[in-house]
Amino acid sequence: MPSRFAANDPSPSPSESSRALVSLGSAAAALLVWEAAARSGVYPPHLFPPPSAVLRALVLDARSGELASDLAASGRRWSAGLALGSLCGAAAGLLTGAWRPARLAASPLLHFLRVVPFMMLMPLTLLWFGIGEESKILFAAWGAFFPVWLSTETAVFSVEREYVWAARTLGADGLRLWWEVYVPRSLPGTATGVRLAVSTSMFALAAAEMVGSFDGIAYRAFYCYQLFQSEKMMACIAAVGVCGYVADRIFAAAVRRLLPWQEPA
Amino acid sequence: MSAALELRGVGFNYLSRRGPVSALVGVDLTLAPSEFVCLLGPSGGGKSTLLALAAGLLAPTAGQVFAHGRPVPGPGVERGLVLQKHALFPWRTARGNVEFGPRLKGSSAPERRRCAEELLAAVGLPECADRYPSALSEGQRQRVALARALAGEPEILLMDEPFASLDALTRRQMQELLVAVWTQRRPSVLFVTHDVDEALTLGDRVAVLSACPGRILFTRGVPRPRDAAARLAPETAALRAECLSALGA
Repeated sequence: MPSRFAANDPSPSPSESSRALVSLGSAAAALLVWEAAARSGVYPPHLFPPPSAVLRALVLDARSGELASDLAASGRRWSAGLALGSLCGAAAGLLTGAWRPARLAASPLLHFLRVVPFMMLMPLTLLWFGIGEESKILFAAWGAFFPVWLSTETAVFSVEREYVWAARTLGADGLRLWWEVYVPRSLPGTATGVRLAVSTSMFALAAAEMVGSFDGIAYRAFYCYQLFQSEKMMACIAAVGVCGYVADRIFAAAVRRLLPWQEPA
Repeated sequence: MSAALELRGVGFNYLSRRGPVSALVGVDLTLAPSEFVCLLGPSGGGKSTLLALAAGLLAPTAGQVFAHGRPVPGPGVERGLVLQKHALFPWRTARGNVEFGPRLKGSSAPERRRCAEELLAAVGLPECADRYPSALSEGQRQRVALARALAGEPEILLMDEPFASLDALTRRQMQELLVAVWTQRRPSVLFVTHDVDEALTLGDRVAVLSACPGRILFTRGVPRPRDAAARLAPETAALRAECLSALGA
């Protein structure tokens, strides 16, 4: 689709500030439409509160410290789960990508598990691991594992023959070849997988918190739903959205710093 | 003196989706020490396969590859490789690429640094050491790739159309650089190209490979020196015509 901001557009690209203006402007417009619709009274305000009421709830929760403690509880589980799931996913992807026996043995099982909706595994997790922190961290790790595994495996598959040849004529073989070529060459793919996992691990964690938890931001949102506190529930959603957005930006910036050799996409 | 490289009755078959394909049949080729041989052939022929066999990266399905009379067991630094596409590791700087071989061999850090600096200077890129390949031009990348192959002090340079994607002027400069390096260090060179003029400019001999399955049609010596008069000489023109007609041009 031709767009004014497409990379191949010959017109001069808009400045940083005017781009930010467009993004902020569209967000502000959406909020205004929401506010007007909520105030028009077409729907009961306790079910469809205006953004101003949501903001008020957000400020109240922030002042009371409840928001911070819920976000901290979720953030701990999320970061632990993301780290665990990403590490396992990257290792599994390198193995199944580079070593055919591992692929033949593990890939069918992993693909089978991948397509099972993780919500359905929640009861089993509760049975096996109880409702302690472990089950929630494991669930977040579960959500992180699959995108990292798949994108790493794909990256290993697509390592160019030329790099392998060059490295072998320069004296690399066996594990050395693996470490010097397959690992660095597949890092950008792994990074893409981790970036997806930043959100998928949040999805899984939210599912875990809504079913078996007494704190955490998704637990809070579900609790508010049961009490008909719509604006507080929406405040939780907004807080998660903002945190997720910030986490994604930070991760993207970190990847640019850590893999400086990548061609600009 | 024994041949730096000898292919004796080498054939190579591989399995494609449409069944077995014969890429090379009965290839005999020798490379004397310090000899520069250009391998000419049509695109999609077995030229790159032949080079991979010479490097020891592929094992022939028929015949054998010898270096100094001994069978080549596998790839090694004594046979340096320069490729056209993906010539450098993008995750390493120019210096990191050149240091790759010495580092694997276990050279100390200052030693490899000196080696990389010297080689980057020899290929005319002393100031680009800390750049990643994505920040280098196509020609600069090929220079670094040459330096990386030279770091192993190879007896033989195997080059697979290294200058094919360069513009005419850069290609000329690279050819001059390669000849200078060859004259100074005297490795044997097996240089794959589909450009007849390039082959006649660089090679002591040209070997012409047929289209699939690849077999050597003929090899010819190319007289030196390569000045303007020699370039226009009738013998050179006849050789060029012979090569072109063998390639089906």
